[in-house]
Amino acid sequence: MKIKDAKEIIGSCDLSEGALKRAMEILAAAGNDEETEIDDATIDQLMAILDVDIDTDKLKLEACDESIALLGGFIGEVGTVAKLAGDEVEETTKNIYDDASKLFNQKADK
Amino acid sequence: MTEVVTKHENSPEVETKYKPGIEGFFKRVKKFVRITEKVQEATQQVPQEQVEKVSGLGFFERVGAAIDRGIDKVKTRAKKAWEGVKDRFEKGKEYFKAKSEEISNRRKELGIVDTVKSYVQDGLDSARSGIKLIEAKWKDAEVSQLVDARASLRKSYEEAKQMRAKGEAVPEGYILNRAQLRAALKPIRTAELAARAERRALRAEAKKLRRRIEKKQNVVELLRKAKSNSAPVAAAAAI
Repeated sequence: MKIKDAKEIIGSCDLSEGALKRAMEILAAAGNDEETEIDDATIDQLMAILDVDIDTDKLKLEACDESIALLGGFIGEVGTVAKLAGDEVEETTKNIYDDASKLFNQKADK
Repeated sequence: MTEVVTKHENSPEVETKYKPGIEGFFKRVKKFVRITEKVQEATQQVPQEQVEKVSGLGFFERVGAAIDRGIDKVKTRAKKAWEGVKDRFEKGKEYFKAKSEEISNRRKELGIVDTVKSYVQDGLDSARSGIKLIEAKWKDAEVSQLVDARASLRKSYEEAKQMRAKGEAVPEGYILNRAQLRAALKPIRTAELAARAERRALRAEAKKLRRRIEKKQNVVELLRKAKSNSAPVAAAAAI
C-alpha cells in the first residue's frame, strides 16, 4: 500500500482528532514520496492506532446502549405508575359518585 | 234519603274523591312524623354548639343552614385536597425542570458523546453505576411523588368512608376531574417526554458509532491485507 493510499483511507474513516494526527505523523515519517510503499512496521502502528480508536468507540457504544436500556426501564416505570395513579383516581371517583348518588336517591325517596 | 245514602255509599265518584283524601291525609301525617323523627335524630347527632346555633331557627331555616354548612365544608375540603396534590406535583415539576436544564447544559458544554463519556470516567463499571445512580434518582423522585399523591387520595377516600359511616356529607371535593388529573400528571408526562428525547438522541448516537466502528474495522482489514501482500514481495526482493 502506497503512502498516498494509506493517507486517503485513514482520512476517510472518522478517526478521532488525536488518533488522526498521530496516524498522519506516522505516515509522514514513512517517507516524503507519496508513491512509496509503506512497510509492515508502519502498517502495524496504524493498525494499533485504529484498534485503540475502535475500542474507545465500543466503550461509548456500550455506554449508549446501557443508557438506552435504563431509559427504557424508566419510561416503562413512569408509564405504569402514572397509569396506576390514573386508575386509582378513576376508581375513587366512581366509588364516591356511586355512594353520593345512593345517598341522593335515599333522600329523594324520603 | 235512601237514594242519597246509596249514592253516597256506592257511587264510584264519591269513593274516589273521599278515600284518596283520607289516605293522602294519613300519608301526609306519617310523612310529617317521619321527617320530624329524622330531624330529631339528626339534631341529636350534631354537636351541641351547632344545635345552639340553630335553636332559634324554624324548620326550613335549619335545613337551609345545614345545606350552607355542607357546601362550605365541601368547598374547604376540595380546596385543601387540590392544593395538597398541586403542591406535590409543583415540587416534582421543579425537580425535573432543574434536571432537564442540567442535562441540557452539560450537553451544550460537552456534546452528547462526552456527556455519556463523562459517566465513563473511571471505566465502564463506574459509568454503569453512575448512570444507574442518576436513573435511580429520577425514578425515586418520580415514584415518591406519585406514591405520595396516591396515598393522599387513598387517605381522602378512607376519610370520606368514615364520614359516610357517621352520616356526614360525602366530601366530593376529593374528586379530581379529568382536567385536574391531566394537570396533575403533566410533570410525569414531561419527564417521560424528556426521557424519550434523551433515548432518541442516544439511539442516533449509537447508530453513528456502529457505522464508525464498521468503517474503521474495514480499514484495519485493508491494512492487514496490504501487510500480507507485501510479505511475498519483500521475500522476493530479499532473494
